[in-house]
Amino acid sequence: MRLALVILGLAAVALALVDIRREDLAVRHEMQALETRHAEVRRELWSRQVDIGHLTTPQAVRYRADVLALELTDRLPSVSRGPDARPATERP
Amino acid sequence: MSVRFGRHDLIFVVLLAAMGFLGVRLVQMVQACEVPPDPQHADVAERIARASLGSTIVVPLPGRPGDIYARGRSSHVLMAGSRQVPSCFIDPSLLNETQLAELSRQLSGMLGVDPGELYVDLLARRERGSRFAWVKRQVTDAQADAVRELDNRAVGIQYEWRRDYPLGSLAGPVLGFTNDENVPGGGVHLAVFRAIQARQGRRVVLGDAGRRPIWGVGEQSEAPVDGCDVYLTIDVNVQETLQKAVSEAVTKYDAQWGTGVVINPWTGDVLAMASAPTFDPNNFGDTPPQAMLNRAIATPYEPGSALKPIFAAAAVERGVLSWQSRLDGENGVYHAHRGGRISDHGRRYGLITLWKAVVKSSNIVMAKVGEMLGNRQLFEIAHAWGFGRRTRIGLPGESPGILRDLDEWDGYSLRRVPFGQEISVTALQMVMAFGAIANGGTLMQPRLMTRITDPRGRELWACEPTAVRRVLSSGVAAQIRECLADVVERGTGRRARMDRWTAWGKTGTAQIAGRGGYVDGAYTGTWVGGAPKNRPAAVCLISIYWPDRHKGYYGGVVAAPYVKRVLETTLTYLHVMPDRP
Repeated sequence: MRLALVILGLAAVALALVDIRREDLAVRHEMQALETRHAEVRRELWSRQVDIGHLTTPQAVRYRADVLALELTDRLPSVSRGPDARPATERP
Repeated sequence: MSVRFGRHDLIFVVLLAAMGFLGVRLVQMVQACEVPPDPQHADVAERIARASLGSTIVVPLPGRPGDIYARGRSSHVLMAGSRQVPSCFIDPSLLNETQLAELSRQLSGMLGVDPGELYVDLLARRERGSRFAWVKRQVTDAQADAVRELDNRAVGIQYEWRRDYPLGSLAGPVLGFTNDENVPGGGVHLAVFRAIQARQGRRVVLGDAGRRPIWGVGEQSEAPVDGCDVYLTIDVNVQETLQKAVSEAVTKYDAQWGTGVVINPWTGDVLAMASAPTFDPNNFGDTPPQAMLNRAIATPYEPGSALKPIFAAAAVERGVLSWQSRLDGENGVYHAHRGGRISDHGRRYGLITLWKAVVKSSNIVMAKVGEMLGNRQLFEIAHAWGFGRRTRIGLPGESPGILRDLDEWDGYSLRRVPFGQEISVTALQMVMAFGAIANGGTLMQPRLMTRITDPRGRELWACEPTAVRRVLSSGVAAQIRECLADVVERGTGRRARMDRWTAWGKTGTAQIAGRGGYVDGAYTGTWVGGAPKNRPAAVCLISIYWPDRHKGYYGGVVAAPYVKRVLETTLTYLHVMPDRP
């Protein structure tokens, strides 16, 4: 009876040890994968930030306005051409 | 009564002891999994590593260098940012000659490097015992993936920082650059290097025999600290207008260089600062050093007549003269006693008022103003207005200009400093002085950086507008603005006249000094002025150095039309109400 008790106890402890070890491995591995992914995401984020910087420069905005043929009215040319002049992009 | 221990009892005790040991070990392992992030427990991870797997890898964790932002129409615009790019490296010591040759062949196909050169280089490094060599830096993501697919433990990919400048050459000399080794090269980068610099972190990883990472050891790892972000007063839209104007003027008049500055006279904010030729910090390696110079702060030059309003206003402020005081223009040529010959370059004036002398830009009358003020007062005025000392804008390489010590001044200085000879100024000093005229007489300290924030956006440092000193009363400042508006309407600056705003300003056409005197046909053409007249919102200066004299060299020709364009665009952009009917 006592022997059976001891064997059962030993088996329980051994199972607990193995399970903890397995969980420990799995969690650490997952952490490692997450940290790697975190670094990749940060890298991607920084790259996107710079890409947005490129897209919001005055040159880029003007280029896209031209490409999209937006009817933007420039207030300045109508001024320098005199009171009768129409804005450059005004519809007839 | 004696106690008898049987064989089974002994086995039971031994097994009980074993169970106790395993229980203790279980507790230890649970504790080891819950090590708090405390330095005194840092060796626990090392012990785990040694006990279990025996291999640790230190992986650097990159901290991002801070960004530099300019103002935009409704938000901030990125001037300098950073991104990580992959680079391919190799450990030649892990390979024999045959493997090295094969790997060189494979890598050359992927990365576009010469296989022979790569092999010879790697072989030499291997023989020297080197364990690290770059195969190719800054490769594409596709190339990096191809290298990873090789699955060769001797070859790896490491990420490096590359600074990116979305605005290109728009403000190159102001920004400076950072090279591949993260060393700053002038401009704002050098000025705030400590703030934008990041602190790299590290992650300690347990690896297998093939150095493949298995898990991280948090206790020995350090988080990276990103650099701080810097916000400038430069407005990208104004900067673009100014840069275009200066570059166009330099090209059109075939000048050696040109510079321009736009400021808000009330705060001293530098809205734009341009130099031509300029450079693109993205390609700093291909740039001649001269193109990297921020001419607005680094290169002093004689301002010529643009300095006249300052001494005229100072003479009125000190009560030496009034605007209506009449002085003799000597009919165009003045032979001063121990002062040499001074001419008005073909224009002949008799008795004219100080007001008209400024409008018509008479050298002779300004020489006489100098005689009335005397060397000491002239020196004090120049010094008070910020000439001969750095403006403290906070950029490296700023020149104080050239204002000689008073004891070196003679009869020539007395008559020439008032019309901008024998004194050299920077464009920034000049525009700040005119800023004082614009804001009612207070010389402001130029402000280029407004704040520095940490990566979470918390403000670490802020710069408020700073007044240096009062140099004019508001009344005299208004009078000199009125006089300078006359320069635009009736004087040498007609090409700066705007349709919607009343402009004011002054031309300067200064001869360029060489060895042993002024160089024949070499001039600096300047226009500096602001608008509107009563409450100026912006002051702009453009100087064009050594234009082709056959194409034009007067400040009113080579600079005034461009200042007009910059001011018109800037005032429209800033929604300044027109003041002209």
